[in-house]
Amino acid sequence: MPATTPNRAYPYPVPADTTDIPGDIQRLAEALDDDLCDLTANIPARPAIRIRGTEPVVASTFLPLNTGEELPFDVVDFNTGVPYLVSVGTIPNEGVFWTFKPQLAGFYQVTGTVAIPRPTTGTSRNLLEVQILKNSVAVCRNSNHLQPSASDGIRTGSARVGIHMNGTTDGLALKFSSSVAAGGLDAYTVTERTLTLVRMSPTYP
Amino acid sequence: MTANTPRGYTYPLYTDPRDFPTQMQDLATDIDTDVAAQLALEVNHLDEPSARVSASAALAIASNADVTLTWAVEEYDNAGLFVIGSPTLFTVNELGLYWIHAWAEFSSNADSTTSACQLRIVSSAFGTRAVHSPRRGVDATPDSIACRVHVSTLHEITVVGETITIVGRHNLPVPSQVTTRAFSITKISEDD
Repeated sequence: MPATTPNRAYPYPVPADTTDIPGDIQRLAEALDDDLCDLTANIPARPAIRIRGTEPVVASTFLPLNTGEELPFDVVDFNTGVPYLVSVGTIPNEGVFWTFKPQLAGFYQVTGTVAIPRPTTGTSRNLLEVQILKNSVAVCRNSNHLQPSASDGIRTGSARVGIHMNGTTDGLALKFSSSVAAGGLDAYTVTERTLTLVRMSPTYP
Repeated sequence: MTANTPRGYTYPLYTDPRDFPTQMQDLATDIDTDVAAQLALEVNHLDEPSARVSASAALAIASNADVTLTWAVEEYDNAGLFVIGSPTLFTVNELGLYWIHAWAEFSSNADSTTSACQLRIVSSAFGTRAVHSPRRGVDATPDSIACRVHVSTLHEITVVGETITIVGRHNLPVPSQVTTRAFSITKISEDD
């Protein structure tokens, strides 16, 4: 009756067994083969996901700093190692969501990007700001105090943060705001935006 | 007198006494230990040293002066990177490649001069030279808009005990202050 190793249960003969050198070696070799194939196939991937918003968001009223818009998402570009959970926003548009809730607790690296083309008319913006929100509270803000010229094309703002998510109720959102030096802001459009999460640790110390 | 493979697997030599069960057990146990250790290593790589701290109390910064930002709330720290009693320093005791992010809000002011605000990531291994130091312009008008500076970089920790701090600076002609701010760090790869 062969014994087995403590961790991976590899078989080996004991002195009381009938001598069967080829058979014992074959059983060990097959157990190793099976185990390594199984381990190779099942080593967990690092959970990571990128969600993207593709539908243009048109802002037609003055959006001063601190009261910008949370942006909707509609596409999942990749999703490794973890199923995801999204919360449908207030607009009844199937497949569109505003808040992203990762289903696994842990410490995440989060990157948000927002692209806006230069408006074709009206006053240039003098401030563009991207915010990453956790449960509606800003956990990272990045403002660009620039004055795009007529020759500027699409401008992309970004923000990055490390943040713990509880895996159940915590949600992330991406917010964008813009302003001008004086007066109202003409209509402008936010185009592509992304939110990328990579889980760096599953623990909560 | 057995021998070992480079990974430490034991095998008999022709000169050894014939004891097949024991020799098989030695080999199987060595492989078992090695595979279990490798699996633990793979899983441990999914749990990297990480931390995040924040603060909101106003920190005054005079014109053209460096001020090391302080942190008050340790929101997350799975590796003892930050100590509340040392409110400006992250001490990193594990070599490797780290992703560092910080942001801070420089308050609005009544001055209409176009100026710049800056955050610098400073490592004890680099001396006073910044690892990374982006600047943000402050608009001449409206002066009611605060400037939120964000800094993000990959940094290789090459010395055990290396410390990381964040330094704020501006060149407004009037004093300013930093209010809401946060700092996060996480390891992403082993040292080369």
